[in-house]
Amino acid sequence: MLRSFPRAAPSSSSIRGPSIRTALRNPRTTLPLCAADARHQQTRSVAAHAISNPTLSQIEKRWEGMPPQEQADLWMALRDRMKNDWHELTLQERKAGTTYIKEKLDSKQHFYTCASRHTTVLTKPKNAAYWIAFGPHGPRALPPPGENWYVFRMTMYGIGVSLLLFVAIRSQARPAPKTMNAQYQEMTNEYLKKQKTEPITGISSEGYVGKGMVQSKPRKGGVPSDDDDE
Amino acid sequence: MYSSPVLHCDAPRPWGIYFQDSATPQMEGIVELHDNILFYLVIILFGVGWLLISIVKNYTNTESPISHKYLSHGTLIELIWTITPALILILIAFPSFKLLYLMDEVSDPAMAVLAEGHQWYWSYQYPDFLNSDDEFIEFDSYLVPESDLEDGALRMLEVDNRLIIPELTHVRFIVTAADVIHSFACPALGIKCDAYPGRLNQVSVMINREGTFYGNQCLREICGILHSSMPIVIESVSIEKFVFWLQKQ
Repeated sequence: MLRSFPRAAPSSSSIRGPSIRTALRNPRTTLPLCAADARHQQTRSVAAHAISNPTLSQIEKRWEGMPPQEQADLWMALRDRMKNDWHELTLQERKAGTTYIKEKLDSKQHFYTCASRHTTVLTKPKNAAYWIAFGPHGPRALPPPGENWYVFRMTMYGIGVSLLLFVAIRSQARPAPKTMNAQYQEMTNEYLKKQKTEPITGISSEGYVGKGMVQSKPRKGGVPSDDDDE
Repeated sequence: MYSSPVLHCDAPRPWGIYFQDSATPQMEGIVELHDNILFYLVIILFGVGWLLISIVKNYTNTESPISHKYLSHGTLIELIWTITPALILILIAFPSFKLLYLMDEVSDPAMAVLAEGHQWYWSYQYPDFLNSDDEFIEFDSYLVPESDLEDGALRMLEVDNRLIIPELTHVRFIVTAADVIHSFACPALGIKCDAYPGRLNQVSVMINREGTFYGNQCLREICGILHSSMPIVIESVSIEKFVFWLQKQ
């Protein structure tokens, strides 16, 4: 939960004690240290009181409309609450998860709450605390309905405009050179054979059956002479 | 794959995707090196492709809902994917350097040709031979425009004066430029040498068959607006024909 909150949010309390810093640096030691940290934080008076249920209920509907300061305060309060003994969290605070995890780890609630620091749960959230940490708001907000279709439509529109532009420019280009017809390219084959080009595997080799340089369609009327160009 | 007519290309061919037929030992070396490297590339392509497809298929939202955000270290797998590419690179590098230094060697040339690039034509000089006026044999080589092409000639590749050199002879090309940077290149001979004003570069060839070999610097060095209009045509002839050609100069 700590890492998922926007970095711009003001901090109400800094991370205290080497145990938490070590835990954040080394995820392998996080699980046992979470319990130790919770015991350590029991002595703190800050956030000793549970957050009221009305504050957390239906938070997913009110979150986007809350002022940033209020969002930050609520998140900090939840974070501080999680530093205490998690058995003292209210149901609203403790569940903090999804149906998937709840089914899997119902008997290991403590583990799950700790583990939520270093796992990403990809199922749909149903709870306020989880929703604040991992819910679809801010940068994780779902795209507005119809956005995919809008992107596809605009992309097709851009491609269509590009094609029209290409055709318009291409229509102004010079005609194809006189070499770009099958008759000339057949003469090119003879020309290359005469000068023994490609004698190993290509057009001048024994038993060659390829098309050689022929790649264009035949031109009506044969190859134009230079007089035609003038 | 090699039975496809598309791949049987020597001179430039429509849609050609493979090398032209080699006419020098260094070009044969280049083709062989390319084929060997492609062997490793195919293995890498399929290996990496299989990894990518497996990850995309198996680690989806439904297949693997929990992903370990901080699982970022595995000594064994990191050793494998570091040492294996290093070994492959060594296997590629050794024959590559061997060929590179073999091609770099100019071994006792029998004659030299000076190729000088201009905007936009080449001029050639034979400093080992004099003409009837006791001057070096030299000439310019310009592109033949489309309107002057004889029937069947290659557009944008034909020149008015071809460079004539004898077959089975060590020839040293001395390459330079008069104005901007050009590039003297001929794929069938396996040579490509940049031409700098005020500097002499050299490459050597020993053409092992008679033939006509086309090159164009337009893909190698952009030397101005007509950089595609200064092709190189090298004609390899027998010693007797070469001597006869010299006598006519």
